[in-house]
Amino acid sequence: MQRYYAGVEVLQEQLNALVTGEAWPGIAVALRIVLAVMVLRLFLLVLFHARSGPRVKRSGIIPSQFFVFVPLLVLFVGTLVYQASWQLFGRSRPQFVQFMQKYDRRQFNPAHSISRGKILDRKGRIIAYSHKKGGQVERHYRLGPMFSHVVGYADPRFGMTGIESAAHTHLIGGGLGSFKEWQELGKSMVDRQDSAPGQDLTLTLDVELQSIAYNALKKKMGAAILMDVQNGEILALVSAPAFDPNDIAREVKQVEAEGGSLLNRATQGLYPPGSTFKVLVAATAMRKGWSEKIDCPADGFTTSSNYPKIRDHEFYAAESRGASWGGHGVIDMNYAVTRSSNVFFAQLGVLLGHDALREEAVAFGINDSDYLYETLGDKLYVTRSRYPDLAKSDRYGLAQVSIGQGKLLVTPMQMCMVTAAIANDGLLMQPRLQLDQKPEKLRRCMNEQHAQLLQTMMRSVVTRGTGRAMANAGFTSGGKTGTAQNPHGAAHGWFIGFAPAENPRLAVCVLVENGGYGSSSALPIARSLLVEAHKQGYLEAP
Amino acid sequence: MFWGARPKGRPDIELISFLPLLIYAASLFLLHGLLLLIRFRGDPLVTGVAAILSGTGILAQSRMGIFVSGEGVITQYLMFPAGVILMFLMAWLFRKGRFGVLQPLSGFAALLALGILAVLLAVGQRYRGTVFGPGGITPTETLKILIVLFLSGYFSIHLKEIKEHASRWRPPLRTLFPLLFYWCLLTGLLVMQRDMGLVVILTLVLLIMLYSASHRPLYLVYSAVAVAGFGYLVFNYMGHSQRRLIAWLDPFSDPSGAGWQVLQGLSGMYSGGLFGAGFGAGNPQYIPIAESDFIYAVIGEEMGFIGCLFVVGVYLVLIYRGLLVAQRASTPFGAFLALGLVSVLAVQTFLNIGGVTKLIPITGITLPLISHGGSSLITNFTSLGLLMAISEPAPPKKKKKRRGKSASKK
Repeated sequence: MQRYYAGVEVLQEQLNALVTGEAWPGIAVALRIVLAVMVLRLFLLVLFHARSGPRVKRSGIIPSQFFVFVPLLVLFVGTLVYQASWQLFGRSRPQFVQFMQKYDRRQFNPAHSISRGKILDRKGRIIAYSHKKGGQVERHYRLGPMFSHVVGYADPRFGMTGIESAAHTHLIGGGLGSFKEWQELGKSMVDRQDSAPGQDLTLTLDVELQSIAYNALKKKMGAAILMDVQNGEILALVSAPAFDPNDIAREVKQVEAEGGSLLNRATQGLYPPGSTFKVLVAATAMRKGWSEKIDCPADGFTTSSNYPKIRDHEFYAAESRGASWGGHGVIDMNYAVTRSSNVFFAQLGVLLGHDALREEAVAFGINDSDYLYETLGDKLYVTRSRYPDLAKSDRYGLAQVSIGQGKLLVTPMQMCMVTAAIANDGLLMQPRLQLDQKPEKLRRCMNEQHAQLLQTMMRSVVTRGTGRAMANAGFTSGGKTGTAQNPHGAAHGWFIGFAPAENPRLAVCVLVENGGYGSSSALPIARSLLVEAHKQGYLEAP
Repeated sequence: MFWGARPKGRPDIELISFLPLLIYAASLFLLHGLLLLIRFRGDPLVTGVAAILSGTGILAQSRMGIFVSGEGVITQYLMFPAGVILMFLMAWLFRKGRFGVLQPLSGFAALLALGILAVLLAVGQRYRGTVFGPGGITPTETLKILIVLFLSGYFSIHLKEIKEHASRWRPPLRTLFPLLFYWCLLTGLLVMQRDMGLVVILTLVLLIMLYSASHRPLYLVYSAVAVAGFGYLVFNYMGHSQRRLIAWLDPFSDPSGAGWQVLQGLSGMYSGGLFGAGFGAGNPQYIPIAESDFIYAVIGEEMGFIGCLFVVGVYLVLIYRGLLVAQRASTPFGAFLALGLVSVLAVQTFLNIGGVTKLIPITGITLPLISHGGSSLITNFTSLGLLMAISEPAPPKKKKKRRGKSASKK
């Protein structure tokens, strides 16, 4: 028995030596020739009927080959032709190429070697480019993690995100317009090696502004967006923590440990908006023609004795000092916005009612699926913000929503769009990331007079309210701070704002997760962004 | 092409890898010897073509790891010899016109088919959309032979009434009514098992045979209308047919869900290109159920478009030869039987390849002789055995004269 096994092993070794040996390529060719001859012989045998069975006359019971075999032949040949349109000419199907680059993990699939176009910033500086190395095309991100979320990554194994994913068809040259481009495609089908280069994409982002936001949010968690309110161009869009798209394999492994660095917090993170939502409540009041005063006692306000009272931040500040606070007393809306009075807006929200507030939120596009980029059916979506479905009887829930708490959840991008709409006199331009697209109107959120009135209220937040740290920056601005309580730890700090105050050009929105007061966490970042934008001349009238 | 390929992934060749090949070769030598022994004079190409196709199948399956040791691996090894022996038995028992004894049994075959379906409905187990009997066999595969037997009997008995029917527009409803009734029953049972693939195969075979019996294309138009109506009903009331249809029309609407399988198959074929990645050098493991329904995509990926051309070419040879056997058959029953068996093979091949290449919706049908699946392989070999039996005519003179006389009496 042992001798038998030894014999088997020797045979196995000899076989392996043969296959890996030098003579093998020659043997392989010979074997292929033998196979080809055998196949050829078979087909010849069939074609020329050489001694293939006894010669018997056809009985004529069933129709001749022409009526049965020929249709089948046509069917099979048609199937092969259709198969060739995928197997050999698959590149002419942009969606198919996209699928393969996104989901096909076969390393040597030629789809992976189609070189993508460059991604550039608004001044033509390279953000991402492709580099050919060996048979494979590598994607490089020159600025590393700075654009990690908005530009995303494209990796044969891990798929695509961000602009890389949404603009994929454009980048690989799938959006074929001219005859010449089709010609090049045809050429690449034949050689399959040297693929036609993709198209470049110029973004509206500015490397300098992006780097300011990126550095300010480093080691924090949060998001910052800077947007031109008059034409919708997004100048900076940062989410923190960031990841390095050049080494996505490592990042994906670390994702669980670090806690969501792959999530684009600016467009996909859902947070309670806190006091920044009060501008929407104020807009509701204006639409309803409401302009009265409300008594705001220091002790706070609640809809029922079963629920804890909603109080102003001054109350808690005094309490922690061991002092007492007399309350705002009877105040108007301008003062309430300036001082960010919870007691005022909780009462105002309940006064205006469920329907009015929901209608206003809908008018500003909360509950809408908006996008930042669109090409050939692909879009870069902003996660839908959620205005909660409250029961008619849930007045406390309404009071909570009115101060941006409770079940209300928004993305930082959504709040940026709200700010942009107010700053552009009520008209929201379609936010966009591609520079050579024409500005488009997205929706009218409120009328001009009301928007301008709201602008002056937000202006006084900066001159004498909770946003005073924004003043004396070398330009005028308006804004609103927010401090959103949440179940995950310290409050999220928010700041939304616009500049210049007289003829707003830019809207900014900053969120710092668990950053505490918006005036001390988010506002300084927004300020440094606007200061840089001012230096670059973005605040000047067009 | 697969000959002369280097092993990839596993660096060492093990002798056990040659076992399927050895069994394959031994079975074929045995078959050849037996056919010589009985002086088989029928079509010599059927065995050769079947050997090429099932050899490709064994290669592709061993490449997919079917023969790696594990539960039930012995059965995998035994499937091919069993099929070959069954093929020989069929050819031996029913040659020289003796397949005629099956004609009186065609009514019984019809009842048996219904019985199998009824029993299966009661005790069968569902897995991946197919109903399995005990031991993981799919008894519905036998329907591909039973129903053809029934149809051959039916059409050969009623050939005269169908062929010589006077009205040009109105089909011979009185003659066809029992068949129609039976078909509704059969289809109903199959739909209850959600075996739409078999419904499609059998109905297409019925249409091919109906056309061959009547020589009237108009009946195909009538049938198309009926089939469209039935298809509409099924589409509205069966969720998984609907999903497959949507995955066919627009696989990119749900690329990582409904469209995943077909798109992964096409991706593999695209990455294979014209000449393929080389046998064993592709990554067909990314295609779900690659060893069975999507084996054609594996061939496309590793042997390239050339390999697919070869495989389809061999199928066409088999179909051509099979149809020739049908045309040369001396009795109507033999002609219809051969035609039916070849039609099953052709339709099944087309539905599988068409599904994998996204020309038509996926029907969950195996590729004859190549796909993994014991019941399917055995059934295919049985049909080919019957085909061989029909191809060998009765000895000349005596019997032929007698048949001639009886024909002239009519």
